[in-house]
Amino acid sequence: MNLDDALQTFIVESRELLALMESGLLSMRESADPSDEINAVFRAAHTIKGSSGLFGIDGIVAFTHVVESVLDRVRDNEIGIDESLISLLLACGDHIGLLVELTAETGNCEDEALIAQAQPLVEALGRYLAAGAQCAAHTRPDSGLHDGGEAAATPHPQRWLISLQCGEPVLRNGMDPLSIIHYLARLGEVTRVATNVEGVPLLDALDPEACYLAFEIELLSDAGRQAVEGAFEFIREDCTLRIEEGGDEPAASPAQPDAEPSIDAALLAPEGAAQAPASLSSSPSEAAVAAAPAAARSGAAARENKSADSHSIRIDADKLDHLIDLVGELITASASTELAARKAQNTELRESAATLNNLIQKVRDSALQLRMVKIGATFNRFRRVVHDVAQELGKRIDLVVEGEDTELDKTVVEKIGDPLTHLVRNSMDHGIEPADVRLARGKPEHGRLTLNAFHDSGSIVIEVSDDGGGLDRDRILAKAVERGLVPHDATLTDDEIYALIFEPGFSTAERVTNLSGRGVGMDVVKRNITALRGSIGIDSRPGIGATISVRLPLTLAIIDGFQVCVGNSIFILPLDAVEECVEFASGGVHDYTDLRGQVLPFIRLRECFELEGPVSARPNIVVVKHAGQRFGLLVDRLLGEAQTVIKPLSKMFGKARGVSGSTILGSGEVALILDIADLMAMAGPAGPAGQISASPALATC
Amino acid sequence: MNAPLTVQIELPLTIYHAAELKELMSDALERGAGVRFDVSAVPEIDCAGVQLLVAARRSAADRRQACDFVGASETVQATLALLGVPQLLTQAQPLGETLAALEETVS
Amino acid sequence: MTRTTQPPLPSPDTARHCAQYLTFLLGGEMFGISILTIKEIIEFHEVTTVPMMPHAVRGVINLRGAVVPVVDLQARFGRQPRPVTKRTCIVIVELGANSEMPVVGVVVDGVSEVLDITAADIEPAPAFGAQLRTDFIAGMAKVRERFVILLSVEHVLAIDELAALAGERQLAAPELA
Repeated sequence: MNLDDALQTFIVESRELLALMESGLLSMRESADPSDEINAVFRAAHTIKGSSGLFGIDGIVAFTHVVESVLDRVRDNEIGIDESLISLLLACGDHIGLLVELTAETGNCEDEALIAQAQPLVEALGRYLAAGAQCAAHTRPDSGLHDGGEAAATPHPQRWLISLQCGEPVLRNGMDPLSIIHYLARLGEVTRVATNVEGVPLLDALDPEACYLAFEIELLSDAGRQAVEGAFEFIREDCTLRIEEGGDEPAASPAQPDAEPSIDAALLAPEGAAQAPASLSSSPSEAAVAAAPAAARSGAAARENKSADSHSIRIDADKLDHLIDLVGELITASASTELAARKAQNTELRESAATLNNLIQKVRDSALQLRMVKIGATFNRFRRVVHDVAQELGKRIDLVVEGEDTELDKTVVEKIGDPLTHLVRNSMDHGIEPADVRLARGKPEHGRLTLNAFHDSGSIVIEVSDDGGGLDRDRILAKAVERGLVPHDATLTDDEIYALIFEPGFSTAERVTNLSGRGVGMDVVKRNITALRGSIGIDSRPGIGATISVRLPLTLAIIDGFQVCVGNSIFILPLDAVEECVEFASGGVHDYTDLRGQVLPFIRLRECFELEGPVSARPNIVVVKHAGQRFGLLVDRLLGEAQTVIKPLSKMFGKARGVSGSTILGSGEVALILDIADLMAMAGPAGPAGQISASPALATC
Repeated sequence: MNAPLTVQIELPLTIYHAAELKELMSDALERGAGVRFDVSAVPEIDCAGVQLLVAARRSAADRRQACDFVGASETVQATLALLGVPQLLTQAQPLGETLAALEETVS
Repeated sequence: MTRTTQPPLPSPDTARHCAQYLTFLLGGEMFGISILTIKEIIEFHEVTTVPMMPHAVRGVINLRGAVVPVVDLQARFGRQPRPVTKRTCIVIVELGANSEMPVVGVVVDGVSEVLDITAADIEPAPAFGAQLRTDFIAGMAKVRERFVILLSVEHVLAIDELAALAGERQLAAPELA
């Protein structure tokens, strides 16, 4: 029984359509000629209405119908687009979203609370319709929800004669002619339905999921042929359908059900009974012919749509994850094979293993690519957020989006949504000044919020910038002292002060707005980012603006690593961070060395991690780079490149420093992955590259 | 000859339960001299359900058995009316009188 | 090389008040853990140390592709570490589906046997004298004239506590030149 599957598809597609509606509505404001956007929004609403009608979700049909009516008038230039209409339509889109979600959970959307919520929206829509001129039809506000029959379209009511001979698989495919009849009732008035049951066999011979019915329907509607045909879109493949325009008088069709002849007579004497079935069956070729061009037309239209979609395919996220897991295991297995081949010292085997490994790397790259999504979709969601929040705050704020094509792993995308939202809201609330303040400062009245993303040495950097007042250093310090976060006589650099906003319980908002003043925000943001093994930084210039940068690993799944050995332990460094390796002549007390004339500070990993094991006579320094800073790691041996699957470390190691994960080597051993950023932090504030620090704390871990 | 039977149907007369209902109705027709299906607990009906009603009545007629459906809720009645087949519920079988008569004699 | 053994299934006529415990030796004392929490037992093999962790956290091992943390019970109990012998094993404990860290390995000197212990034979932990944190002890079972300390796995292997220990260790780390 795949009704559930069909309903699932409806839910998913409705969500997409709603997203289209929203983005169309938001674009309208900026567009000189918004007719494309208006059409797109109308089509989205129209499709949602149609599909929900087929599933008999009357609540959505009814509400969307009113929205569609308004959009139709807008399309015809009878109603003008303005801010308040856009806001209203956005709110309506949200409401439809609620109805869709309720349907997803419970199978229908009948809910008194939601109906109540819809009331003011429907009334507002009604006012637009009433104001919108010439057509006689309008929705009465108090029955707006149930009045689906009167469309705003222009043509006058037309009588339609529909004959529908259902094919056997109709019910099994999840359709029910009843829903279609209900839907037709919303397009106008269904004046007559005749159901032909002569095809129904005896009970024992009946297939409970097969369809044996045929219908004759008379409809009075001004919706137009396309709308009427549209009602049958999902069913017509399996049926013989014929739609004719009737005259103004009721069609002179042999009216069997009206007279209510004995049903048993009909059952017992199938050839007798009414001519309605006869009319259906007498000219099957006619009916077929009539249906065929119609089918051909809709087929062509469908094909057009399909060709636009054929370049993408919807995948179940679980299946993708499973594939990635398998690829991960492939990689580990391939590494073991190569190791074994090396030991076996068999040339053919080694070559074979190398070829295999090569191919697997390509599979890995392709598989990981599948998980990569462009950040643009996430950024675009913020247009709505910015729009709504700006309205709430009474500020005018423009959103600029850059780097939308920057790709990142889908799991990362899913997790940055919330932190980013908070950062955006924070910038809008605290960063960007109210219009009068801005004007007084000689800034444009409209505040500007920029979202940007780009790749940088194996990470993705996401920036949230605003051209507001920047962070108020003194106020932050004062608040921190007040909260006991720092002693009152502490001297801190500007950066250290800015970093205080990430401390739990911190908030400088003088009044707690419902957005971001509650002091639960920034520390949670930082925690979320850290949990993704990312980092967050602030760059602020008073009076000019602030930029918050979030740095995240490109992928959480597989690492191109560089293996090193320190004592008895093997560690993996992210290959992207490694610049070069240099031999180190040991001796010397300092923890810095000369790299082509430049000072390179380094960390002695053995001491830092308190490791044991043999010391190499010829240690090496691996030069790594992170966030623009260069430093070295002193190790005993270099073991070369290796590509492995990242296995996250258990929460027990949440406070472990210097390591960001683990991986299983070809030998079966577990090796730890070094966290370059953390190592740099452990080296202390005097760490930055290219500087000699007099402080022996340079190599403190 | 078997005794007349009243059978309660409590499932919705919809495609989700159609297979089960077919069994139930089939059995009932096997067992009873005539069957009265009490559908007062049936919340809704769809096309699959309509087919079941038709098939049951047809089979009963075929075997010269009485069969009717009583107690239909307004929802069910409305659906059948919409489809133009309200008589599935209202019309008595030709042997309806026989059923009533049988009931009287038995009780 | 690992040899894995599944703990035996409870016998069919186990009375409702009787539960099964895996007993093992540690530092000459006998301890017991409910077999319901035990996933498997493996031979001791290389544990990868995670730097700067407290002694109680020995490191991680590869358990069929999963990286599993390993806890040193002696250290956890505040005692001196024991040398590894060929009887040393790692008992893999499952802390439960809704726990954040489902699987942890525990190093023991050697496993003994699975015992049926009825509730009647279990006494509450003594107020003192066991030289072990009382919350680690679920109860004292009397078995054949000796006591078996039944451990409360949720406390002994409490993730948050172990994680926090690591934090303390960081702060106490001496400066390195």
